[in-house]
Amino acid sequence: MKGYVYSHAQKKFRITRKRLLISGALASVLVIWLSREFFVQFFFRVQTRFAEFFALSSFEAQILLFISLLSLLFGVTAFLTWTYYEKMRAAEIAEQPPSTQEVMKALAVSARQLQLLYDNGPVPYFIMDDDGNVRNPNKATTRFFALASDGTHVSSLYDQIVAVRGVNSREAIDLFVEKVKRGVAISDEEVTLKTLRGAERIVLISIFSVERDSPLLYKHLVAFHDVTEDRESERIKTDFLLLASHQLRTPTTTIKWHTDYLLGTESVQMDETVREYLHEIYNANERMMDLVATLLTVSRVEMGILAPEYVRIDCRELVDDILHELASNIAKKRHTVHTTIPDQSMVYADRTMLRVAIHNLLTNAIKYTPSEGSITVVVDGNHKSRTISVTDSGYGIPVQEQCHIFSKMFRASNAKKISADGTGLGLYLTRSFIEKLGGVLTFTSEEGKGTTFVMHLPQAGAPHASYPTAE
Amino acid sequence: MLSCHHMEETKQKRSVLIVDDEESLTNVLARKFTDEGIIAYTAYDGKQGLELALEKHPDVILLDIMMPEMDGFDVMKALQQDPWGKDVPVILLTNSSSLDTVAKAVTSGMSEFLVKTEMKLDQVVDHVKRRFE
Repeated sequence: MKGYVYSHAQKKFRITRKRLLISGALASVLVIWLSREFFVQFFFRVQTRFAEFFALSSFEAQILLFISLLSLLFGVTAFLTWTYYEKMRAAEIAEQPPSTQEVMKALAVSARQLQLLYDNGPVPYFIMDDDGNVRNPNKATTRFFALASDGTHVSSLYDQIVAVRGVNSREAIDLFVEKVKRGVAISDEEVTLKTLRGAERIVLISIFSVERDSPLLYKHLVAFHDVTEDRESERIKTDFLLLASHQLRTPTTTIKWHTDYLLGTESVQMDETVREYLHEIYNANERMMDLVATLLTVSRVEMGILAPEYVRIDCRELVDDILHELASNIAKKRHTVHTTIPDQSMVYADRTMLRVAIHNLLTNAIKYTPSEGSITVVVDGNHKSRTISVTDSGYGIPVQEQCHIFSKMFRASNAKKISADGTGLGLYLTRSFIEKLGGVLTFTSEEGKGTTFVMHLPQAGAPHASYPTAE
Repeated sequence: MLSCHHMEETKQKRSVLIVDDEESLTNVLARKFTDEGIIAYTAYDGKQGLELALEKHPDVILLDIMMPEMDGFDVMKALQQDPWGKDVPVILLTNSSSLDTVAKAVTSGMSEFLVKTEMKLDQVVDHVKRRFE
């Protein structure tokens, strides 16, 4: 409100630099006049000192002092009035509505800045009509497609699409085009594009469209991000993991069969210590083989070559079977196991994936629950979804580490202290499998009290609807 | 009714051919079979394996897939052409459990598919013995 009053006052009496300086000078004179007695007294006292110091005559000292004082007074007045004027002027400019010319100029600057940003931004952008015709490609787009500078060499984006989400089929591409035409927002969809030099690049494409009934011809803004190198390095990593695990299988099998032979034969004489050591070798090798098998599975999950085969599974039968397999571990730690599984708890899923998922959760529950603790398995749900939960009274997961629990190779700090064994791949795999089955894996945990993992698996409407059953 | 002696004789006649380029694995498996009273022939590549099979006519063949000269599937194809070979039980013994291999194995006419890392020697012997019955 203060600014408004200011501007109101300025309208009545406009403050200019000249007016300010005159009023400043008048104010100085007024100050000197009002304090003339003090000023004269002060002047003559200082003048005497001045004359003595510089060895001047009285008259010369008076003149010199008078000029100095006057300059000082006017200097201070000019500085104060100038500062005040600048402040007022800034306030005035802020208050005054800009002229059309100024607006146009500011708009032109903004437009230029925006254009520079659009043209030189590292992200490829362009606008497109419903038929995929490309207009206004920025430099990043031109570089990407190896276009001529006007971008006219790519007639339609659709012609450059080789695959959608890695699927190289006409249907997949048509479906994508249909989505664009309908104005469905597309965000970071993986598409393989062909450049004019024939190179194929994998990009994450996003398309933002204005309303379908908009009179605009080019109504889609397209932006994408080249992830070819990222995908390639992921592939190399996964290939390496796959190859390394394959190559590891032969030597581990050799160790397994030879120790197995020695332990099982009576034709070789050995004392108990040797036999005991052979057992150690055999068991260590078995653990290594488990790790290799897990690494292989991880590679397969990441390469996307592990497709679920849906069959109808009896949850009670599956859980009982796994518990039977883990019976010796449960007995060793004297755990109490409770199961609440209603009759006919059927679920459509891939048997191996679900088995591994439940097996992993139960193994963790046994491993990270102190002796004489309890483990509970509950199967619940209806015709729409099925939940399988595993609760333990174990050590729990520290709150600050809970967000990393599904990360690959992650092990909670307390888990590492409890057991040096563990790959940090179990929960990663479990979640990958549950997600592959169209489900979700959630958990709640409290340190020192225990953890509950819950698998939520879809039933009706799940992709299994068209799959054959095991029966 | 066969006499004990006759049974022993029949048992001794049982034979298995192991075709695998991993010599050390082949040898320890052969020794296990010998301990069990089964004649074990060994070959370290597909071509040698096929020749030995057609010469010795073993009761069961344990066949690896990835091998030099001829791979397991080529050996299978050649056996299918032979009047004796088309009926001999062939157990695939490999370390490749990829879906692709399994699918190819099923369509090639193999009797069984065993993954080496998952098997103990006793279990391999049991699988072979079941084929004798």
